[in-house]
Amino acid sequence: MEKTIIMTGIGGQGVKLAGEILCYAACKVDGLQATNYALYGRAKRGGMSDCFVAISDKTITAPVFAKADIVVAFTTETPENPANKLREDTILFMNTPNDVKAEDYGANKFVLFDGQGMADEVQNPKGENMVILGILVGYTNILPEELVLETIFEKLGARHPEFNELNEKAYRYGLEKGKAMLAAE
Amino acid sequence: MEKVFMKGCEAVAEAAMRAGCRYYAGYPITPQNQVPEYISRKMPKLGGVFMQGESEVASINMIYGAAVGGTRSMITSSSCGLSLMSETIGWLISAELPVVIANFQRGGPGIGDIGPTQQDYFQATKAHSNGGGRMLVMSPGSLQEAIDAVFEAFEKANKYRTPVYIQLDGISGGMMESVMMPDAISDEEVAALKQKAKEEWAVGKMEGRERREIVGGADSGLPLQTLNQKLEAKYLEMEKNEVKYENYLMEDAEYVITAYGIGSRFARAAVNILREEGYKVGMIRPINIYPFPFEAYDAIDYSKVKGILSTEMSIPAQFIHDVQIAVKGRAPVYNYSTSGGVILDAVEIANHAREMMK
Repeated sequence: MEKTIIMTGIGGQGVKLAGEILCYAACKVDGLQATNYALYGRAKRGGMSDCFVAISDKTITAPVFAKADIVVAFTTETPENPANKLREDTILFMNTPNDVKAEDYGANKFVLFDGQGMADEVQNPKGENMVILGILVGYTNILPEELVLETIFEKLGARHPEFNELNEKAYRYGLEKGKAMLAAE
Repeated sequence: MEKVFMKGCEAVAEAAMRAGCRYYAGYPITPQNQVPEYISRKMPKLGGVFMQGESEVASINMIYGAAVGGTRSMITSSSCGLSLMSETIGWLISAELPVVIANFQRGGPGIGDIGPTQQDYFQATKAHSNGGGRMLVMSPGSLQEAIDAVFEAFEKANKYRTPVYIQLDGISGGMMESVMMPDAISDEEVAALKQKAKEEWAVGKMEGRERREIVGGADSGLPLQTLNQKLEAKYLEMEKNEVKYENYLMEDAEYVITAYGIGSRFARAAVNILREEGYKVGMIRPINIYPFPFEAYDAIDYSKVKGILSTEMSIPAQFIHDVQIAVKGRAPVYNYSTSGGVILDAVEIANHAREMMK
């Protein structure tokens, strides 16, 4: 079963990093394959930043796609409207403190949350993308939750082990929120 | 063998060193800069040489020099970088030197831009240098195939005493994918390969043998026509032995999508979409683009197949010319292509295929 995800945001939000962590985690699962391709503007913070992730138990066909099963918008301020990336059955995860609506994007499945607010709540203001990863994994169960955390420790903790605890808090907070939102439906 | 998640440029770099490459030269150009970056860190630890030349021209001539000494050598670049190397590519062919050249295609013509394309089909297969020389040209469709192609390229380069060209692209260079990385050949094997080259053809200490000079053209010691006949015999040998392609769901196909390299991944996804809708569509994918797999298109059952859609990331389309020659008018050939960093999309290919099937 091939699952496609587009993470879309702006430079500096950790879009590419979040996509890579998912893929590294997927590769730890026997029989799973992953591809990751990042498209970004020319070395400018705030420019467009899209990350294409595919995870499958078979050989992955296209590593880049215009629309995906899951779209994760890291902000409402993306240069291209995330609505363009949606199919009828796409789940749109929207990270914003604002009260936006599914109808604004033509999304049939819509998960709205305030990642920055949540990161601030766990005293990790730079952990927004860890919260986002947690919500995504908690809501979709796309990969084993502990495996993703283990990968966060490996990839981020190698150089900065002092942030492991903060990153874990942010990730677990997102995870709970994701599960709770699914249960509430 | 180990399963790893790697970026394309780094996978090619790692595979080259594991396949025994001990001399790399290059000059920076996007989107392949991670190849020299990766090799610069690791090659010195292997006792090999990493050289950042002062230009593309200097770098490929360094490769010429390393190959003359029998060292497994590789160079990578992108599109306009390869244009600058054009003269020496002809010299390498003429002097029969086994090197591996990889192109991570970006936009063109000219400076183009850094977006991924397949805009160098003619350059790779027909016009990489003056004088009509040929090289084996591989076109991997995945990072696993790219890794395997690197190993195979060094083998084939030795077998035919020729440069071998690996045609990649900006997506393959920048994307990450899970791959099985083969074990490295041992230092002893690397030394034995060099020793064998020294014994058979390379230059170095003479040790009782005749003096050797490795130069091409009229300086080779052969009349030029005789040299070109010798080279042609090699091209014909490659055309006999090195045809490589994949048929995907072709058994009952009434329509065919044909694509190569990275483009074939989007084409395969399009075939899957159309199959789910009940269309009998298959795919032909050349894996080596020289020699071109004419036989794959001869094997099509033209009493059943009503149309062929050729798709690639190049405007104007180039690959389609070889497809048209191969199809010989036995079915209509349609084109759908993109350019300038616009990546093919499976849904769009499927839309164009549905148009063809109307």
